[in-house]
Amino acid sequence: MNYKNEEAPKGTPAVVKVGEEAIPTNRTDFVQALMAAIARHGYPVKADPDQINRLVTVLLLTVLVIFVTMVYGPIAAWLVELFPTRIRYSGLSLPYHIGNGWLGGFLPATMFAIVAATGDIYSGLWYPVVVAAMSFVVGLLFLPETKDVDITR
Amino acid sequence: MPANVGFIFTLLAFAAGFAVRPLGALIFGRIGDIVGRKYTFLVTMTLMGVGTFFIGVLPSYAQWGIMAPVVLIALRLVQGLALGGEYGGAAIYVAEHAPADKRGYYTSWIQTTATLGLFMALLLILAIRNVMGEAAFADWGWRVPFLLSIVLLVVSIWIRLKLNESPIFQRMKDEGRTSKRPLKEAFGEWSNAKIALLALLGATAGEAVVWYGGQFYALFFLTQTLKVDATTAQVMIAIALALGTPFFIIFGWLSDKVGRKPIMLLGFALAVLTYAPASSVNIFKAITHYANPALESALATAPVTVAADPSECSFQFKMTGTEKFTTSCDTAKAAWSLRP
Repeated sequence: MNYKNEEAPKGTPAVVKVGEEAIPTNRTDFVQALMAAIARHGYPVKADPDQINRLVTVLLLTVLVIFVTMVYGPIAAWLVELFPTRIRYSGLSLPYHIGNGWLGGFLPATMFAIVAATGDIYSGLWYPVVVAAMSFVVGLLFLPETKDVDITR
Repeated sequence: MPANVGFIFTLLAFAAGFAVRPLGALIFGRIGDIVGRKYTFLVTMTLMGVGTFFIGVLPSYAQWGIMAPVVLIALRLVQGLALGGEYGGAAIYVAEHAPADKRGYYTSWIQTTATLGLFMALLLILAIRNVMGEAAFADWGWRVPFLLSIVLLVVSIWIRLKLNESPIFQRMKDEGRTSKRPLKEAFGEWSNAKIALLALLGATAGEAVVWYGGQFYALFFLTQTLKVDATTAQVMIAIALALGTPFFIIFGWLSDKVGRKPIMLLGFALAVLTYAPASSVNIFKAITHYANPALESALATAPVTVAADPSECSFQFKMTGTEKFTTSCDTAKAAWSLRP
């Protein structure tokens, strides 16, 4: 569920507002009243299959995959070329798996935790945004282009 | 098994495989630099295949009690360790064989395999589920993909046994120029450790979040946030993966012409631009618009607000589903989880 947080005076019981409708938590039938209000204001329990625009949704998902291919397609060559042959296997594997195993593998849980903490269904996206922005800056300033290096060294 | 204990083991089993990957990188990276690329990735792939197959024959909790989830986690650890050594070997082996001006193109074929793997897994699970039905799939059908993986293992071992060592590594080894202590050299000497740190911060970190965000989170966003039914979501993701996969090759090939850096940086920049919640071209908001327009209009016309004394509000992330919420703020927010 998506919601905003609002500060209430100290000591007052929490109130949930759906549109203009306020439902105080100290009502005995709070949960039922809240569910009814959400349903009345058109929050769907499931995505209506007849309303899903499958074509455009697939195209949008494809755009996401194409961004994946931009950052993942060339990275094997880049990593191989960054490290000398003597230590290439060790040197490349550790940053690759800290990145993909830790920052990537725990990404879904991290993003949903951020969503749960803030109430905003899009807020989890800040996590990949901040990390990708950091990589953009660090990569731009400190990592060399390597396509022409001699990897036999 | 009690539901909350089961969920903890589910989370642990999932996390264990990812958590130990850097350890696998150290163990097998060292062997790969001392003994060789070919030997190492033969070992890691066998470990991966065996670990995967044994998940498929694992006795259930009813038969084995607590040993079942404990062994499952152990097998996930084996898989994670093996993968930590596997990727580097594959990338290096291909790159050290490739012509200098085609390294990006050659290695990009490896880069398709993770996505193709997810694609094939989705198709196989969809097919098995539809053939045997939901109940049989939950009962024993989930074992089939794990058992079938043995075929891939046998084929891969057969292929890899016939391969030669990487020529660049072989020459270095013949001349006695390989490192005796690669871990110390790679991470104990600042000139090399600096490259590893910059590669993490400037390349793999961004790559990982763009990848897992665009592929895995997108799937969970459809099913968990937008409540699209699982089959529809999986079919749409599978089609997108199939359409997008050729671009791994295209960008790998292009990186041989224009360089690795510009393509990677452009990918990071586009992801920042289209993932940022505040962005006017946010792709996830667009997906909401096209996949669940009713939710989008409810969000716009009747936004929900929780007005509460902030000192009463605790962090809303229930690990086990057993925590008790006592304050009125927590009551308000916990109500969401009661939604069907």
